[in-house]
Amino acid sequence: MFALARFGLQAPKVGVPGLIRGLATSASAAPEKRNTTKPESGRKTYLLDVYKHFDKNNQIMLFAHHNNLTAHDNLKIKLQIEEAGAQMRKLKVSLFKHYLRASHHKDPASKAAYRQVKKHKIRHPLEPLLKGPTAAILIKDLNPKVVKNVVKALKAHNERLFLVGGRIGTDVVDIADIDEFKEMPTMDELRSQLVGMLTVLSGAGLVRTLESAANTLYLTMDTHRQELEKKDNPEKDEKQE
Amino acid sequence: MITKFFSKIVVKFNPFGPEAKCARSFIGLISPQLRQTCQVDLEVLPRASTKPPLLKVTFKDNTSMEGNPAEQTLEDISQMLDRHSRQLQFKEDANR
Repeated sequence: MFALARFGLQAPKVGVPGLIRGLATSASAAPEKRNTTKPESGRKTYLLDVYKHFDKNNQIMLFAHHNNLTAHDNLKIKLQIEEAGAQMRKLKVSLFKHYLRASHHKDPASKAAYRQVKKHKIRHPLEPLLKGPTAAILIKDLNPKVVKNVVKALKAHNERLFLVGGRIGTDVVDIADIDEFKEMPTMDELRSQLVGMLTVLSGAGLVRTLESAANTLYLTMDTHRQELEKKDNPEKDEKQE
Repeated sequence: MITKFFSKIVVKFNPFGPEAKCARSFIGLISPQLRQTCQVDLEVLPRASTKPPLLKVTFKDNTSMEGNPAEQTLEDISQMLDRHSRQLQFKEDANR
């Protein structure tokens, strides 16, 4: 349970199988029986579920090559990355690759997902990054500042741990894209800039223009309704007479 | 692969390209003990880069060897390097 506590995945006290089932069927709450390729309570199924959890809950996933890290290095790097606001996790590459291929499926560990991947020869654009020892750096939000901190922290480690690429939002990015992204302002800053611009630069005019379409629509419909009422009423009056 | 006689390593590769596997496994062979004696110059190229991938090793006797990780496998490169490393090892043993 130590491992589970580390990911912050604590579930109500139902034990490991219960947690796994809970994770995989989080989309559909019905407790249906899973038909997994590997034993349901086994390591591989568990890892696939964990990778799914990571993938769905993190906006940014950067991949780094880690190279013969000593225990001391490991601890140091882990702390540094956590300080930067991210989380590092070494991947079991073959399983992560299978997860990527089957990620479109509701349950990537299932036999159905495996069959689909085999049949349609599904490949994923992130796969080339998984050749060799790879660690994933997980960042919850689309925050360039965290990426900047992570890049800064990794720079000192040179060939021991270096970024090779990753996923930002839904885009597959390489090292140049990451460098570009980390210099961008955060989403909140961009929004506040936009609001500031609207209020300063004839914001009221823009709001009026945006509203005018709705207003004219309302007026036309209203006149139309009045006309209809006028048409209906005389007929009714005649019938009553 | 005998890495004992390396004094400098230059690796340039694009992780999305075909050279990634060879280059990354080569870097994986550099042991933590080697870090004190051998300088590693690493450059990760972006996808759009036109620079060719490169794997260059300089030995302690200043001979340098180059390989192309996109065309050669790790086995080819390690054989090439070992040939020289074994000569150096032989000399070292003879001088002892």
